[in-house]
Amino acid sequence: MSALLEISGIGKSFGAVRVLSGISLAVSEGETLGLIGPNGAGKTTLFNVVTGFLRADAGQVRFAGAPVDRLPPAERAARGLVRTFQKAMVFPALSLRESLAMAARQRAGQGLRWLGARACHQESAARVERLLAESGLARHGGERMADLSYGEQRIADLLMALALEPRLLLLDEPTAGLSQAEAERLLGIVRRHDARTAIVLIAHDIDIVFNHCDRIAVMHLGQLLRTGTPQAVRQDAAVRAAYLGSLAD
Amino acid sequence: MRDIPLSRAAPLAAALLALALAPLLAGAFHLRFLAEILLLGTAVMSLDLLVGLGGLVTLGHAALFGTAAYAAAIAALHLGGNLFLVLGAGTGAALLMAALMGVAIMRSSHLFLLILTLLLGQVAWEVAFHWREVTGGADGLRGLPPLSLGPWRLDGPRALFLLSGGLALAAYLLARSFADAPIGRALVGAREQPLRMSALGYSIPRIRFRAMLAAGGIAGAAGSLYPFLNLYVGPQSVHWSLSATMIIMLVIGGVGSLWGAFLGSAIYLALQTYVSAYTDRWQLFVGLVFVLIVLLLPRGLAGGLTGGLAGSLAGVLSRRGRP
Repeated sequence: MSALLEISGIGKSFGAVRVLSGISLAVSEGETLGLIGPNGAGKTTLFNVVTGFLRADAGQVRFAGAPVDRLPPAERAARGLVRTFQKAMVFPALSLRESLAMAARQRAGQGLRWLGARACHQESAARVERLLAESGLARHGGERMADLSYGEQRIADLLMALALEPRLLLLDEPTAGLSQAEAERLLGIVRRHDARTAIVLIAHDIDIVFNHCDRIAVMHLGQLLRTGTPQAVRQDAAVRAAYLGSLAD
Repeated sequence: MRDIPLSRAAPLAAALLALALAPLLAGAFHLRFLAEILLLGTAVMSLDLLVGLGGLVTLGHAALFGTAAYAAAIAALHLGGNLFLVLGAGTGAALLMAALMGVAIMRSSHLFLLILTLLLGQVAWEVAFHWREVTGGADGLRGLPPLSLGPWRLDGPRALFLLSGGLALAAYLLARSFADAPIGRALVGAREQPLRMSALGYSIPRIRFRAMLAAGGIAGAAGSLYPFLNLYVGPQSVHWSLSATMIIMLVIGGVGSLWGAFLGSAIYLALQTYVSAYTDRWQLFVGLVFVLIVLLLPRGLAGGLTGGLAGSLAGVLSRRGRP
């Protein structure tokens, strides 16, 4: 299977601190890759480089066969390279439905329309209602995002990303602060939405990563320590020493 | 058909009623005064698109308004006072100025945006003040021909009032459609979570540029008619202090409401006109009103009125519901 995302030799420093060093990784269509490692390993920095929020000092990022290093985040997102952030970034003053519609309209290339806006609203409404129904949040559609619970905000954040119909979805600790049941619900929404969507998942909950991912990449001190199937990674002595320890048992 | 919320329908109905009744009840002075409120209010409302929706506080709005005023006046002096010519020249010039300002503010926000717009506004003022052959310099331009539409002269107070009212109403509907359209929602999103908006595929510079163009076009239309109220335009109309005055009017009226801009303009101009008859220190009263509004009605008069109206209606309905 050809790689949807290819990262080769990525390096990044902040001043004298080297946070990413020679990272090379590939993600295929429909694959779920777990990205794990201790705090400060460089996982979120790698996300920032891949999505264009940070520029790498070295290396290349290719998406769907084309280099995207010089593209701003918005253009990468428009190509289907979509992310969420560590914290739920919702729009407090907008309703859940409005927020999803904003994402759906952008997907349809109508995000900045002024005239003929009513037609835009109608076109995006169907996609929004489908997402609300799939997520079980339909009854909260009219509520302001600020009034949703934390768990609902995290799901809403995810739904905005899904409304873009991503080809690759990078989820940065989407389950942080959620109960096991809420986390399972959230990941269930992702998987049910579209099986062709590739996912890169950062999470500190080892059970979630090992249960939901096809492959796992382990980062440590800005380097890629190991990549492999959950079983191979669990058995790897270097991974156990650097990160998993007794958690692997 | 879409339902229009009471908070929008009530002021719109009141405004239409006032527009219809004023020419019958008010004298010449008051009709010109009301026309000035409507034109400045329209410019302040366009500023609300930037400040209220986008959180883009600018000190260059007078440059848009004043550039349109000068362009309209110069066009009228050379080609006559045809309404459409004047409106086209003024709005076109304001759009050009807005495009320039839009490019400058695409990637800046907060303090940098404030300073950039202030500097651009000052450039416009320098041009107006020193290019004496074209703008009249410090004296401004006088002796403008009256506005006309075919065979009709539009220089009477009633005609100017109705013209200003019609423009204000059209501008309000346009601004409201902008706020409700995808671009208006995107502007709110860019204010609240710019990073998230970028991750959703939105170009923040493009959103800001378009908002500036929309605000510039509306401010420009109002500025085009402004010189014809007194058949004069001077460099004060592009000075940064008018931009600051517009911000004060907006805060008094209510940031984010759009129609509150007209209330803010009315309060400010009424204080300026009536209190200054008694004391030179009329700005003290403006300051007092400003402080009271900020402390007691943080959402401005419009927020206070709609909140009060909604509260009263809720009270009446709950009393009716009791056994």
